[in-house]
Amino acid sequence: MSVQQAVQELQGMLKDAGLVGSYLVRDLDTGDELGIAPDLELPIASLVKVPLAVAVSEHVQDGRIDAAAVIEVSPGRITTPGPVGLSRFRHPAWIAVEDLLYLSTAMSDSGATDALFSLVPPAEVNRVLERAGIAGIAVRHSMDELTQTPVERFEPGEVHLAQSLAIGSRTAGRGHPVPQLDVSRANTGTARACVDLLQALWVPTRVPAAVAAQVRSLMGLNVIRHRLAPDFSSDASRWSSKTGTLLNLRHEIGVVEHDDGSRYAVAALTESTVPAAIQPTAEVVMAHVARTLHDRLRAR
Amino acid sequence: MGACRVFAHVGERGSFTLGAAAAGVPQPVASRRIAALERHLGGLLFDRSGRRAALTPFGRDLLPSAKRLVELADALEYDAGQAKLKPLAFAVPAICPVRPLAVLDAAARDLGMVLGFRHADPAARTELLNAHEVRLALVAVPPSEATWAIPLGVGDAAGTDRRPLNIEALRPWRAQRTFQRIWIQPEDDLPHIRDHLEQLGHRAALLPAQITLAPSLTAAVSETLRAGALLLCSLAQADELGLSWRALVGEPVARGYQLRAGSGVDVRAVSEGLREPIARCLGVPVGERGRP
Repeated sequence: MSVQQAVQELQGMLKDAGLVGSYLVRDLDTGDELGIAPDLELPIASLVKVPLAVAVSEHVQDGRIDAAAVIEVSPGRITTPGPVGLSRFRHPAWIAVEDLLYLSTAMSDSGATDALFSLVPPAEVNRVLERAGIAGIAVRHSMDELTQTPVERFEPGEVHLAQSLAIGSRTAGRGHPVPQLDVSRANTGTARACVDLLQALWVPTRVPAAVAAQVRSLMGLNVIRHRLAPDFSSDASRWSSKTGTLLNLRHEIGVVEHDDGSRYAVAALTESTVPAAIQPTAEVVMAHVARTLHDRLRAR
Repeated sequence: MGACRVFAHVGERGSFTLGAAAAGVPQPVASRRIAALERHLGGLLFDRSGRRAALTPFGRDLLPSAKRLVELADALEYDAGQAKLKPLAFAVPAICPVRPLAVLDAAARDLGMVLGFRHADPAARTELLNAHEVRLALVAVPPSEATWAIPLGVGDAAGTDRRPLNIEALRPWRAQRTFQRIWIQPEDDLPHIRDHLEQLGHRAALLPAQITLAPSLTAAVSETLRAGALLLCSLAQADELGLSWRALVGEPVARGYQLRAGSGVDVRAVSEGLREPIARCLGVPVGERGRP
């Protein structure tokens, strides 16, 4: 089967699962790539925690922030399903910067992320990305704005209404009345930009080596492993990643390092047309497509 | 009118006795009608002095007009009879099988109606009625408002399992790359069936492609025979198509129909009079056909 046919088959599979996908897989040693619509701009949801980790880690490395400095974090008190850790806390907590970095990156704790954003605001994260030579990721707001979506305004039994609103309302030029889904107002990126970011971390040239190593290690500790991890991790391959989920968006970016030394950066960004909050089958299809692209690239 | 008819017959024959017989009335009645007509027209039509009933000049002048009037009245009655025989255009679901429709037509003739069936999909039936192209239509409505309600299940070709199907059982396993579809036929492309079933599918984490609208009933049945897919249909329809049928757990979706009519048709009377044969056409389950 030709690459074109294979890609078309994968696109059909995504369509059957109600997904619109933007994928890119890159061999980090040769630069070979295989993707599906890799330049589609999408809101990146929690993927923003990776560039933030880079920025915070850089500030720690050059001494602008003390890794051991203890910060008071006010409780998030979120009750809707999904968010973890500090965002669900009911009482204030005092946590060191380095530990916030772990909570934010490995556990996707948005309470920790916002505490870090208060030290390194979005504009500064953008400057760090620019210095690292990564174009195509725009950081515009902190996480607490992400949690004020229509989901929080509906009763739990009516989540599909929030989903329908998210799906049915995209306007021309990829705009959206829900600010978190509007590519001109949300934190956005493309599969290609995400792979560029992963490459900057795994093959560091402009990012300080110590910073890249720390972020790689945090991504290796990622606890959310139901999406792409089942298809990429084994005793013979190590999967380090970050997921992002918001309304009908499901993303994961990561690097798989095989025992033979080959390394592939994978970015899978998807947008669903199905008004349901829990879609395990969509997650399975999403991973299958990423894995197939990876396997074809590796077999070249 | 009756007087004109007698006048024409008597005038033609020159005899009250023969004229009355031709008009089909007794002679005294004929005489009374002629007298009444003479009063109405203000002049004598016949000269009654002789043995024969001779026309007066006034009567001679009026006879041709009276004859024309009688001919026109006959034509009117004939046309009325013909109009009664003309079929009443009736839009019915495309899925109604032939025999129950023929039985429905026979039952309608007993009520003095001749039905002319037009098969059409749900939206087209409403359009035909609104455009006055048909005078009766079986319109699809949510089952709660329906005169006839038919629960839907799934038909399949293999057909060993007759137990009700839980939609969640169609959810693919994690490692499964294929999936079983439920095809929705055009007759069921309605919000209360299609959207409701899709929402149930979404909630049960089915792939969206697992509940699909078929371009035609034939295409859907072909998929059912070829690919082991399931067809959303009623028990009666599954029998007709030679598929085995399973109900859906909880009977989440049903077809509903209501009879609607253009002006001049007593929809309630037709609906009551033909409730049972229409129920048969739509595939209402046997036990529920007489249900008010």
